[in-house]
Amino acid sequence: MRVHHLAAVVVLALSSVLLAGSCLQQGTTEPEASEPVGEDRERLPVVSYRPEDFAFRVVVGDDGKGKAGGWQAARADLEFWHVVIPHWPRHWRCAFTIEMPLRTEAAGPISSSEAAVFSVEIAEDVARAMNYDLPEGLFCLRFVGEMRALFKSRYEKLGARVTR
Amino acid sequence: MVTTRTEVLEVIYRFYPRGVPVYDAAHDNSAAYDTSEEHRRLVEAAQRGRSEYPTWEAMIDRLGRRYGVQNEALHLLAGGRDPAYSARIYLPGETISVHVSLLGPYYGIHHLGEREELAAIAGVIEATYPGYEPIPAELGDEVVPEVWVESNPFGEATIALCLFSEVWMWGGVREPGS
Repeated sequence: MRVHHLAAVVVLALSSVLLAGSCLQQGTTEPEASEPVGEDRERLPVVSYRPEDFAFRVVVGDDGKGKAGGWQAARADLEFWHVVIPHWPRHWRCAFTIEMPLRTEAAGPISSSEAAVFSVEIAEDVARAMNYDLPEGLFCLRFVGEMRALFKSRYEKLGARVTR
Repeated sequence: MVTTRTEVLEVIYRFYPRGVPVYDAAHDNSAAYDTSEEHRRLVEAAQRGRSEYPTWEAMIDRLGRRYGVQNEALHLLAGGRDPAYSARIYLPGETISVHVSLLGPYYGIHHLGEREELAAIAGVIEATYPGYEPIPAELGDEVVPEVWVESNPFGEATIALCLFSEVWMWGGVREPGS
């Protein structure tokens, strides 16, 4: 049937887009007899952010005094997909702000591009560990909280702040 | 004057809505928290902190001439809703954090043990903010019932986190090799 054929094409195209896109977690499918079971069959979400997703700009200039100074911030709006075959994909966004100094006591100057690279690394690691079954609002709140925690544990001296 | 738990909790409950979670499961958002009267007061306190920032900045400059200091209040200056001015001070073998609250006349120093620099740092704070009282560590660690702060949910929000922000946790850190 034409309608069915069209639906199949749409689903196929959408699947291709999703697989190529960022922040995708593919849901669990029923394993075949030869597939591993338990944790082995858990699939990691496909996550890929770019430094351009975190456009840092100076919000407080560095006055050059002392061993640390200046402040930069990036407002990010990341996209997430949850695909559980055969259900229709769920899609949402999380907006949040990452801020950090321009110059730190412990790590020296931090350029906007370095700040973006730090942010990509932290966002990707957190996104891979998230539970994509959560409601969107709770997901975003937890995502921000986990980013805050990972920045602190991995780059404590940086003094990065993550807020919703 | 000795700061009591009751008096500090009264201050905190003016700025954090009691029993209101940051995340409202029924609506899958944070609207109830964000629009509360208490949160509005916190936003106003942060705004006041920005307008009075030069006093803090001058104090940080004074401390910076004697110690390695990282001013963590630039987040507030940039528009953040912090409940306090904060800074980290890198002392030999330990990073401490110092805080002056915007919610009441309180300050805090997060450190591991007694050391000679602490009295001098407290002296600088008290000279800059006359009448402000220190929050003792044992009081700062007490959980504030029914309060959720951005970084910590019910049951985890301590007096120190409410008065001084998450930056409190960046102090009292032993440095490697010490």
